[in-house]
Amino acid sequence: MRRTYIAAFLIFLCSTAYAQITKKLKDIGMENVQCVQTPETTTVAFENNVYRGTYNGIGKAITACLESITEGELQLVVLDNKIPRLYIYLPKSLVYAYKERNISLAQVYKNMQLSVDTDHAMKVLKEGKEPENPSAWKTDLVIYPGLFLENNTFDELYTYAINLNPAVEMALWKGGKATIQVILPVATNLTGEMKRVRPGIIAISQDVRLRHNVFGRLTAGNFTNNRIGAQLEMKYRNNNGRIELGAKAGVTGFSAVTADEGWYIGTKLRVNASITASYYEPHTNLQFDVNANRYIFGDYGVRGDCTRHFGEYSIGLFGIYTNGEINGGFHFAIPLPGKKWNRKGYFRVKPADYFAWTYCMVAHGKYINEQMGKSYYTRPNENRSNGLYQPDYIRYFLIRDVEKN
Amino acid sequence: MRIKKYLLLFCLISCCTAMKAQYSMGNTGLLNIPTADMQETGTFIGGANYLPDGMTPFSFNTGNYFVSITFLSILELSYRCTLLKTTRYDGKKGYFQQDRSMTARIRPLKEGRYHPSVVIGTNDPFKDTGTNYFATVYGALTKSFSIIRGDRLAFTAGYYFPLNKYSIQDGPFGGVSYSPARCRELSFMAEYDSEGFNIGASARLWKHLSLHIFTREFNCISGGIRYECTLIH
Repeated sequence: MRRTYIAAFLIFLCSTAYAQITKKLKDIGMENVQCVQTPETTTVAFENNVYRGTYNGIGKAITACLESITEGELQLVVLDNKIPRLYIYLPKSLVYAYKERNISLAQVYKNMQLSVDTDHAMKVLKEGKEPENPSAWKTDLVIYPGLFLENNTFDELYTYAINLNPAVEMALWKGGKATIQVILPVATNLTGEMKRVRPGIIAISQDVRLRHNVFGRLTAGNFTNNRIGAQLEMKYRNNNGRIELGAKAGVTGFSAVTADEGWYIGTKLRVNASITASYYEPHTNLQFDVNANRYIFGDYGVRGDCTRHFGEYSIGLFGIYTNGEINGGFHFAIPLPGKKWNRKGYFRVKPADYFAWTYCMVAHGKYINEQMGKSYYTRPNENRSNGLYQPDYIRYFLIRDVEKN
Repeated sequence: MRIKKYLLLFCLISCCTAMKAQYSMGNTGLLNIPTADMQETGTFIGGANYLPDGMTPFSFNTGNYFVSITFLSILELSYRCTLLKTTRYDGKKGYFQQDRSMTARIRPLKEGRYHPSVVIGTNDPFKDTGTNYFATVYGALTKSFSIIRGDRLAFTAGYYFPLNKYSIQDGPFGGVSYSPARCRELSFMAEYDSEGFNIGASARLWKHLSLHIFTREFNCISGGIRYECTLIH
């Protein structure tokens, strides 16, 4: 009889803690919250669509879980559009030491384990209830700033185009996302299409995660650089997230808004493909990317990037060698104002999280005339700061953020 | 009369002391020469300068604007555009073109108690179209001292190796800078930039905004403004 009472008491404790964790995570805006609890282990999955930047949201979620958990070890799975991206493990001793105030939050971050491998934790979560506060069918109207700036004429300092690129973005089902973007010209000294209201990225994409850290994405629709078609990406990341290998292939045609025909879609299809290798150097937060490409217009080349991550800022240099021509330049992504954008109900209006821009050195000659080194983006928020779930990066800037405050 | 005295005093101080940051090109250095100092990692600088006739290879008053980032503790990168006055297809004269150039600086040796810091750098090494007027490779040494606790007196010496015959940076350069202990945000500088002598001062306001002004052999006045901040790293 006593055993039954003890078991009932433990179950009661677990369910109370479970309720507390899910409530806390929902209170700070986390979505797709799921929790499975045993007396020894608490396993939590969550998705951050509220805080700008990956490590900001993860920090808030860890703090919320540590405040709610009573004892035992804690494992967290960070989701992105319901696709698991990162695994965080806090052993019992670490949780206990923090709860007893023997160690600081910075020490928790320093000693917790991070991995790209989420397979085991996701198995545990399969036994749990349905996720709470689902993200599916929630819609964001995201205002992206657009800037075209090129030093490619001798008659003006720059040719420029300033645009507002609002995009309706909707999470569909697991890994599914729809984007409808329109480009609204604000100011330009160019003529033709750049002066017209025109479609931006209008696409539907499906992300998948296979076993052993293999990620895939299939996207179909209208992309940047006047391309319309479909693209498939596959990526492998090792457990510590420092090495990434990937491949990409796309088939696209020309797409533009013309004065005579409206939205014109060309019939000639072009194939682009690339293979990529990346390495993240944890001591300096440098990311090295090398890729071999067949670019849109059939030229073959290699591109190397070196990007440094300064918190949410990423600044990098690149060089391209394609069909005997050389180009290079720099790129950056900087966070835009607004660290937190609450999502109440099914609709939210917010500015983009980052402004990203690339400067290319070559502005004249064969490289420009033959449209060499051309590629396209399939999502409006593709940049080197957005969705960076690299474990070393997350840990480093969680610690730096706590130390700074 | 009193104002004249203060002006004279300022000039005397400026002549016998000096300071750091290659303000005219948006790099780390003095007024128009580089030093072997490096900014803190993650330091971003963006700004603009007025460059009078005589400060550039061009025979007109112009200006430049620039961005710079200390990418690593030993590596600084800058990019700048210098405005060019040209005649356009419609006969109109104006600043319709610009000279683009970049700078990379590497510091192989950090300043020690007894030895200076060493920087090797290059200005304007890549060519797309036009002439590389600033194309050079240089080496610089900087050693700093403190006379009164908290102040900074730094000496710099270096040499420019031009990469083409048009480069205006050719030969030895050197300078001295002084930042008083009570106001480290203020710097006085004097230098020889391989073409002439410059004397001037700079001040940093509200931690992020820097202003500077200097004269080239009292023939012309140059100045500029820049924003500085350090990114989390």
